[in-house]
Amino acid sequence: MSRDRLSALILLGLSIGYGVLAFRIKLFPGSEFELFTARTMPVGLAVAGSIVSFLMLVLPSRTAGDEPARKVLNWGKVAALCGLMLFYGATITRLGFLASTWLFLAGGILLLGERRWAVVLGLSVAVAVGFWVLLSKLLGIYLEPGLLL
Amino acid sequence: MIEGILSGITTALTPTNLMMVFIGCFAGTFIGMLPGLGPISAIALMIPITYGFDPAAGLILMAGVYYGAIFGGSTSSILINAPGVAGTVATAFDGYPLAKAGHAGKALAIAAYASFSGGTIAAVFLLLAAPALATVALSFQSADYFALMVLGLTAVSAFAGQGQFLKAIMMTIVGLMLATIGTDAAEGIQRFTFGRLDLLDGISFLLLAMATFALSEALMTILKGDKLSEEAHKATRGQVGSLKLTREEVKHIAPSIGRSSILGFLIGVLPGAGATIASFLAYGMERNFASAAEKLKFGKGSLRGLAAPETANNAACSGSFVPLLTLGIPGSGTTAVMLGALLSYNVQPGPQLFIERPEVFWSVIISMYIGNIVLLILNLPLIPYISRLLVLPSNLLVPLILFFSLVGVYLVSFNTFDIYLMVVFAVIALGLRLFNYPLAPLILGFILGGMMEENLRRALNIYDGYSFLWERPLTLCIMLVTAFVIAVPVVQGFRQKRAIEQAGEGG
Repeated sequence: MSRDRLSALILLGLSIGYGVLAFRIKLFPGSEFELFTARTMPVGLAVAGSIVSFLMLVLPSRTAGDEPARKVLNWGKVAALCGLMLFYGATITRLGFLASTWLFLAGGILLLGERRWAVVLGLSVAVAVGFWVLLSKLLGIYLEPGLLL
Repeated sequence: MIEGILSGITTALTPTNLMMVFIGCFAGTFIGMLPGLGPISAIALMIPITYGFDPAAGLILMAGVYYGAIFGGSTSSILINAPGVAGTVATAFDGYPLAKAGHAGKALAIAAYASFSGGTIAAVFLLLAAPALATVALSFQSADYFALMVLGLTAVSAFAGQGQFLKAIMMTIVGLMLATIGTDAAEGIQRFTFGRLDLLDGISFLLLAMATFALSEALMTILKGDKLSEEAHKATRGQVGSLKLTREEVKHIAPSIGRSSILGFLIGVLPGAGATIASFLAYGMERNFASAAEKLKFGKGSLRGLAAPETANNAACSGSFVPLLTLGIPGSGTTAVMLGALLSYNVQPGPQLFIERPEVFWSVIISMYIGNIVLLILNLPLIPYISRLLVLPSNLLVPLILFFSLVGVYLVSFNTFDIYLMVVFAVIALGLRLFNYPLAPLILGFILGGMMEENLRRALNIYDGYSFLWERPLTLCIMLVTAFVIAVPVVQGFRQKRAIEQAGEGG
């Protein structure tokens, strides 16, 4: 199955799933007689989405056959970066803006292969402290204090 | 009106506001140049910074950032074929081949002059047309608005690229679907919230824009390896070449600039259609206008092919302020973010803005002229130096882009759930990019979703059914144009298929 067909199949599933949920939207009593309810647009979109993704599935794909040769993709690094972003989200209020930002930046730079400690520490500390000062001191934006500031 | 213009000039020319234009243009150029950060991200980042400013100063700064980012995006499009902004994708078609042929300086100069001309001509139109357009647009009814939005979304999809029509339509639908998440505006019913309080207000536009553009672009750079930096090194190590244009070249591109300014401005005014569509349309229009010999040059370094989209995208930037300032409807993703900023200043855009806050309205328009001049005299000579920023290694740049995006969204909501949601959307967007799905239609569908539903609801209730589609002449006209816009790529597709088949039989 070509990549286009596979994605079309996923989107068809998504549209159908969305449609099923659309029919479960609760309505006020009596609104089934109205022209337009909270369900109207979602149901219309589910139908449109199903039709378009079905067409993508059955119509001959123009790009089939000339897909570029697959390159080696750095999935590991992307997954690690996503993990790091989730970690940032989890720690920004617990550890505090300053500490979690510093950890996030230093971690990201290290993860992407920078090994000069002066660069890693210098940049991450400068940006984290600079931003913290800009936001909390100069602009007066309230940042929830965490364990470590 | 004259008093309004005069008060606008006085406001725009105060030292603080002049400084805002300078800072905005400069920051915008810098941010727009970095692949992964476009005007949406740039303006979004400015929102928390400009909270304490008065509305005119804040809006002037953001307008400067907008122009600067589009101009900066052109620079990275031309030099390394990596548009930082969707609106400058068409610039790369002919700009990059020119740069590869050793005429990077000329290509950058054309981009700057075209941007300047497009922006200035469109600002004149804006000055003359905004009040009149507001009056005309006030006669639009919900049915027309609904039809206009359908047209805008269809046009985005139709011009998404060859063989991409269905994919773009699908992305528009997905964007519209995402817009339905949250509390229904009319009846207050929860939809697709899965019982989560965080989703009651729906997904924020800023979050979706940052995740699908800034985050996924940055992750894509990592996923595909460090090729970008190598190319950037190559592009910036050498000299960019002369920035001068000959008299013949100026004569050659002048008609394109004139045509594209008008087209760009008009497209920018349309809700849903912005710089991206304008630049693609202008590119297509110039190719149709070109002689057979000139046509062959398109895609290989045609000067007209570069000037047209550059003019149109800047003209569309000015044009997109018309619906934003006069009706409160954003003409593009970027102006949608600005709408959010205006509301945070307690300024409600619309016809009332003329009457209640004329200094805000006119100072923004006057600052557009100033912004264009700043871009031309300050940025153009500095481009060879600013472009060296492109060689910043991605292992330093990517964590910073991720940080700016996450913080930009977090500082608006102060909700960590938004950070998790951003990661999820970024991963989905990354997948969609790998499957060659265009993401701009998704964003536009998302912006217009709420308004479209509201207008459809009103139109259905007023006309007691779908009869507004054929009973109201203006709506019917817009729907016919929509049908035409759909028919063009379909017919073209069939023609190409037939041509390929015939070539196959012949060969």
